[in-house]
Amino acid sequence: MSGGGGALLEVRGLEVRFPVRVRGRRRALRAVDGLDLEIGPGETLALVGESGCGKSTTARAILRLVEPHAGRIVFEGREITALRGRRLKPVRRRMQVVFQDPYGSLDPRMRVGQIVAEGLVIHRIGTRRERAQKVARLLERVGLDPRCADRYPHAFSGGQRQRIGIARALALDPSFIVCDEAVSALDVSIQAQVLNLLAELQRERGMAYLFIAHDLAVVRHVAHRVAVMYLGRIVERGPVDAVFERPLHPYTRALLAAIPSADPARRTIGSGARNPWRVAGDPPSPVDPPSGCPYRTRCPVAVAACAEPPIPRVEAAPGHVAWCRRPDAEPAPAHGDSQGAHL
Amino acid sequence: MIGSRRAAADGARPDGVANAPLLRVTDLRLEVPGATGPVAAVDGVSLEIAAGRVLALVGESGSGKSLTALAIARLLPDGVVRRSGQLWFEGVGALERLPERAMRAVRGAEIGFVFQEPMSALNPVMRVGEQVREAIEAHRGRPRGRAARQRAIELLAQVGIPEPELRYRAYPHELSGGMKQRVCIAIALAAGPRLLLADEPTTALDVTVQAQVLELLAALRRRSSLAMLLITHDLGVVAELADGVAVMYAGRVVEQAPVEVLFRAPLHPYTVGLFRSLPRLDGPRGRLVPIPGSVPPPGERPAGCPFRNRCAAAVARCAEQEPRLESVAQRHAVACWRPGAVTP
Ligand SMILES: Nc1ncnc2c1ncn2[C@@H]1O[C@H](COP(=O)(O)OP(=O)(O)O)[C@@H](O)[C@H]1O
Ligand SMILES: Nc1ncnc2c1ncn2[C@@H]1O[C@H](COP(=O)(O)OP(=O)(O)O)[C@@H](O)[C@H]1O
Ligand code: SF4
Ligand SMILES: [Mg+2]
Ligand SMILES: [Mg+2]
Repeated sequence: MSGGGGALLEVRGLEVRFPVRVRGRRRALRAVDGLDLEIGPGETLALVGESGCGKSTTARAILRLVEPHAGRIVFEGREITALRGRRLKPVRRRMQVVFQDPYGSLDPRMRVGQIVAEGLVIHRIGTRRERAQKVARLLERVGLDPRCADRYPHAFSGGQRQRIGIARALALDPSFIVCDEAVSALDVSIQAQVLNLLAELQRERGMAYLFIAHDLAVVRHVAHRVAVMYLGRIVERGPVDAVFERPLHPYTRALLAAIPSADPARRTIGSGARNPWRVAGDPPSPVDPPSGCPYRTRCPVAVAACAEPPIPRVEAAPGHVAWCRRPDAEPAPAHGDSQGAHL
Repeated sequence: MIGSRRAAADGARPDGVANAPLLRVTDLRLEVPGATGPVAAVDGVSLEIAAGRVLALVGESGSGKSLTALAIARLLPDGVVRRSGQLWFEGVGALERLPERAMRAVRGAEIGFVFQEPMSALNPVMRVGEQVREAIEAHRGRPRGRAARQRAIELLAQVGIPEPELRYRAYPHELSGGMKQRVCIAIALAAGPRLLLADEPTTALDVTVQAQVLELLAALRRRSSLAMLLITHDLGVVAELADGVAVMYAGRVVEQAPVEVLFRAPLHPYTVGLFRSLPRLDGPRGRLVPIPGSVPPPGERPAGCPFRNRCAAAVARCAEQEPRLESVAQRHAVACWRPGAVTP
């Protein structure tokens, strides 16, 4: 996969900037700042990182919903970075998206059947009758009663709406689906239903997923590979097991250290025994990203050299890569809990 | 640390002080408007929280967690009615009988509230420090003027806000989500309450920031005898912070136990279902086992056991008779005709 030769999607040097005003001055916000990734057919790549690090913008650039400032996007063997209008349309069919908000992403004035069939209509696929049949099959496949087609989205629960969104994404038989926090708003029992459905569909149809999520336990369950993003860049990527069991980048370690333990006998956060990798505060502004390593302002093992580009690329195993000057450094043990001193 | 928590779970505080209940909720029933008249959204809920202890209220959305907390603070939204139930608060008495004016004094001075969305609790056009100061001054016998300002800055520092003098002057939109939630916690703590009702306090935050806020809450309960009703749907948050857990389903408490017991040996099929549908960082990575279906809204809940239409262990009796919450061991209670029938 890392070679990119057999890649379904290949992104190189992607940059997306947004014009913003900071204290009255016009500045560029670097939402995506030189990002590479590739995804193989039938593969799930998870993109993780704190909110605002550029995950959705990356996906929107790939889906050609936002104009990149620089970089190349190659999908199914052809460069799509500059395609427009009529030439983009066949590409759009092959890439679909399921959003987090099952409420906001479904038009409340359209019946479920119309929502699911919309892509078929736009691409003039099938007769009315054939479309209705396909909609019924899709609804059934995602676990809904085909008779739901006549109802409006507001009549459905969050989990059911997410199934509607998945049926809509499947209608055009895509080879690639972006799931942007698609299960994040769901209760665990419903989340598990939807995760299982996504896995089954991938097995049946061989679609690739770009799975954007902030829950690393969910990522571990669904993804083949994971890319950890910070301030518009990927700081580590690799097979899920490798990254979770042998993280290289201090930011990956910070994300893992922040996860609540699922065992009250082994509390990590509420116990006062502070994991030295745990990160404080918030990321810096993407308007003024730090020089060199973007994480250096919060990193417990940063040294002066971390401010100097380029940051070395370290490869722990084939395909498991991080960008860090001190991948083997250990932080000094943290003393007490961060708030303890004040109270 | 773990040793002292064990002791706490067995009924004594780590410092040896016996814990009389601070809050006791008995047989709470809350009704919301239904298609053909009022229907129960919360039904027969009884809870107890001891001073300095954290009781987690868990369950999927719609199970009645928020309404329960709002009923305790007597902040029920219009249209929601408390049909029955006692709310006894140590040193104050029956909250449900207090006149609104007296209740207003209890809110803040005795009971603080933190919500999921910090913005919903903050005034967007008022400096955050002033909001903390206002909360301090709102109560009789509290410092005013410059002393209150000084106290507000101290509070901001206590909840882990860097450069509190500077941040005092910030407006809510100038702060990150985590910082805003810290301000909300400072406001909730301003009058030194004995009970904090925290409704999904970290749900809207990034996991890194969630860890910081959980650390803060853990430090608060360690250093003071602040008790907490911690509402969450996240079992990880429960594992980190709670002493006891009450699992709610469809308006009822279906299982209640000390946290270690609940995680080690859950007995209600719903509790077991929650654990089995939870993706984990450790252990096998196989298929998740979801609970089929979803939480029925008030008014559409089945007779008998409210969980029976989603339950793998249901038998005829489950449709005929509603199981009551009954003790199966010391401090472990379950409302199920077949406790333990579904294994984790
Ligand atoms: N349309 C826009 N205009 C200006 N800034 C934007 C816009 N969209 C996103 N951003 C900014 O770009 C950064 C990355 O945002 P986003 O991709 O949504 O992050 P994520 O999905 O990881 O939370 C953030 O700082 C965000 O505020
Ligand atoms: N203001 C209200 N009016 C009518 N019904 C409500 C209101 N608030 C909550 N409910 C209903 O009561 C049930 C319990 O709600 P809530 O306590 O918010 O659940 P939770 O916090 O566990 O998600 C839900 O089914 C919800 O639809
Ligand atoms: S009472 Fe019956 S239906 Fe309800 S949880 Fe127990 S076994 Fe399942
Ligand atoms: Mg996003
Ligand atoms: Mg709620």
